Formats: sequence, C-alpha cells, structure tokens
Amino acid sequence: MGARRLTVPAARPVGSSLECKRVDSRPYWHFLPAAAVAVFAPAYATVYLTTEQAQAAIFPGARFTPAFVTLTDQQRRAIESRSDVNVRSREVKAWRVDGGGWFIVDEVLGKHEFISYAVGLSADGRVAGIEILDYRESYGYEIRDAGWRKQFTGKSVADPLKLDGDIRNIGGATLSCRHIADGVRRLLATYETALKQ
Amino acid sequence: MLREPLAGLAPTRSHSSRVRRARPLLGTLVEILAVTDRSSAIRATTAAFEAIASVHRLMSAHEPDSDVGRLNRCAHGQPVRVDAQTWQVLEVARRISAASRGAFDVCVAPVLARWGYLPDWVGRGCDATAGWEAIELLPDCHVRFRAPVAIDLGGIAKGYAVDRASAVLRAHGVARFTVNAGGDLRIGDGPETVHVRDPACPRRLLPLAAVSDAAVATSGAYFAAQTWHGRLVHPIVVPGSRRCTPVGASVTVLAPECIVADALTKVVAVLDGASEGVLARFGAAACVIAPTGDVRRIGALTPPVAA
Repeated sequence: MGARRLTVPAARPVGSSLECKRVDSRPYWHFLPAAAVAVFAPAYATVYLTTEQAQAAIFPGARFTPAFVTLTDQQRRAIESRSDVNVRSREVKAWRVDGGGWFIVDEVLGKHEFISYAVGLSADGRVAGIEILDYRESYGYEIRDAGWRKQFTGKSVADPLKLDGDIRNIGGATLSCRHIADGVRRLLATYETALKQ
Repeated sequence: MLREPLAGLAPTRSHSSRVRRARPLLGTLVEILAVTDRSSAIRATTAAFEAIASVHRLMSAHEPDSDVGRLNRCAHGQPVRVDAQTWQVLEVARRISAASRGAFDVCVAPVLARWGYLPDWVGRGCDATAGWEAIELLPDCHVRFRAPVAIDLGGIAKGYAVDRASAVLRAHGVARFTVNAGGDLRIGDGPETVHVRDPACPRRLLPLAAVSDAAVATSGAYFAAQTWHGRLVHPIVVPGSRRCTPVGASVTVLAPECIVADALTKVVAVLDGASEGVLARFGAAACVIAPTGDVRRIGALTPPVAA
C-alpha cells in the first residue's frame, strides 16, 4: 500500500547535537508553526516484542516447549459456546511453560486494526500477563472529507512514509482494547477445552 | 548445569536500545517506549506497567469493589477509606473543578451510565443537581459524599497513571521515554515531536509541538462516539446537563503533568476560549481542532521561562 509522505517541518530528533531549549529540568514545549504540513499515514504499524521477548517478559527465566494444537470442529464449537466469541482460526499457537502454565500467541481483527498479542496463563489457568506483539492500523483509501485531496495538488512526492520511523508520538486514542478482551476470553475457553490436562 | 541465557534478552551491554511495549489497560492500549540498555528497559517498563495496573484496579468505575465502585455504593452515608492514590486524584480533581467553576466535574457517572458507557447500576438514585462540591476529602484517606452522587474518574485517571509510570521509569534511571495511554502521553527528556490526529480524517496526522519533560493529553470523540436513541453521543459530558460537548472536535492540552493535561481537556472542551485563565493557572496551553479542520491555540506558545 503506497503512501505519500509530505515534508514535515524540521523538528529536532532525539539525541541531536542541537541544543534543546530547556531550562534545567523544567517542562518545555513549543508549538510548531500553524502552516506545518500534515503527515499522511494511511497505514501504520508498530512492532513491540517478538515472541521470545514476550515469553521472557511474562515468564522470566522459564523454558518453553512448543505444543501447537489444531482444534477439531467439536472443540471449536465448545470454545465459541463457552466464550461467546467466534473462533476465526483452528490453529492454536501454544507453548507449555516448564513447571506449569501456558504461553499463547493469538491475533485479533478490528475494523481498522490488526493486533498480534501474547497471553501467559499460570498453572491454574489464570491470566499471568498480556503483551502486544505488533499492531497494524489501516484506513485504506476511504475519503471522508471531499476537500482533503486538494492539499496534495502541486506537492512533490518524497520518499514513501517510513512506517514506525518518523511517527512516534500520536495523541488521540487509537483503539479500544475490547477486541483483545474478547480474544483473551476466547483463549481462556481454548485452554479449558483443548490445552488443560 | 549451565543456564541458557534468557530468551530474547541480549547480553548486557551499555549501548542504548529503543524498547517499546504495549498492554491493554485503562480501557485502552498503553504503550511505553524506553530508550536505555535493553535489560534495564525491560525491568523498568515492567515496573511502569505495574504502576498503571494499580491505578486501573483502584479507579475503574466498572468494578463494584474498586475504590470508585465502593465510593459510588457507600460514600453517601459514611466515610469510605480509599488508597492514597485515589485520594490524590480526587484532590487534584477538586482543584480543577474549583478553578473551572465546575466545567470539570467527576460526578458525571449517572449520565455516562445512561448512555451505556458505564454499567447501568452506576448512578441509580443519584441527585442530578449535585456535583463536585458534594465530595468531601477527609483525613487519613477517607472520602464522604454529602449528597448522593456517583463519580467516574475516566477523565483524569489515565493522566494520573501516565504520571505514575513516568516516575517509575525515572526512578529506574530511564531519562528518555514516552508513556502513551490511548492519547494521553508524557515525554521524558526530549525534545520529541508530538502529532495529533485530524478528527475528520484519522489517518491524517498534524505535527503539533516539540515537547520535552511534559505531558500532552488529547480528547477527541472520533473513536468513542456512539449512537444512543438516535443521538450521537460521546463521553465528554457537559457537567450539570445531559449533553456532551460538540462531536467532531479534538482538544489537546500541554501541561507539566499528565493528570492536569487530561482533566483540562474537558475544561477546554466545555469552555473553549474561556478556558484561557484556567489553563494559565495550571501552566498549560491548548490546541483545539474544530470539526471543520480549523486549528486554534489557546494560551502561550511556549511555557514561561524562569526569570
């Protein structure tokens, strides 16, 4: 999905040798000029932790044995009925934690976002931790504001937008964690139905 | 028997890494970025997430047994003891309510319950005319309600949680960081550029400000709006009414602390330009993006420098 990048006004990057206008450790900000050009991010992706990093974060020092499972139709129906959430895929990416517990990697799909995440379950089947692995957001090319396109007329096309490069801090809530809550509920039902010994 | 190195953690080195983690908390996705050596960053961010989880457990209005749940059920009648953190948030909330003459008011829970943002048992039997002045803060972390009110700390607790997480990161020696709780964020040593979404077009990002050691909170209806009985509503209630502030606008506040930035977004949403005095009092500034796309600033372009 190609994205156009507009010129962003020079903001001092982190670690720059240029002086930061701070007075000791006082809070500081300066508004960028009103004419600062918007950056267009039709697709935005952030990678957080890898599977191995998430394993280490939720179960420090532990060892893991892969124990992937393919759900039968019966198991799938049982999970859907138990959790009241649809099961999109029959593949369960699970690892047994030495000493007890499970580590599962799963995905949830929202209207505009795709989130890959990991859940750790303790030996008694409770949630020990949740870590997001990666997050992708996409609005496609739907156009909500008719006059919006005009701003691109006459501008030159620079390098494609570097995802997870320049855009680091975005204000404005991006999503609810409802999809993840549903996913965790489904995974708890999956544990009860297909993993628990 | 030799232990294998911990999976995923590089051997300890002093060179900096950008460690970015996210967890679902506070009803949103909380993202923490720490720039330091990898193993310190993992330890520090884990501790920071625990601080956020603690705020979540204490202040959720959805849970009958959280501090907020217990206050809503029992505080009109007798004093209820809460955690020091909850008491601290209520204290800041009161100062902002007083300074804004009620434009910020945590007693909006009954309206939020009516619109489906909170469970319907919240706010039953409440006095619609009573507000923040009914909240009495007593010694030893006790709180009493002088009238039957119900509170929701959703307009201030995220900012508070971000401040707590930031303090934990600093205590672990992490100077460069960002904590972002669904659009309420705090930046460590910078400067870092903060962008805000165009409320009319969420994939369009407007560069807002270069920020260092300060907080930026944004309230916008674009993701939280829903229909209720044919009306479009969102959770920024005009206190004392059953209306919400205009849909399609976005308010961003910059302040030294995130708890203040968060609460002041509601003051600006309700008062608009008339919020200038309140903003100045708390060392803050704001930027409003109207549904038309107009961008307006309220308050100083940079914080005042010490003489």
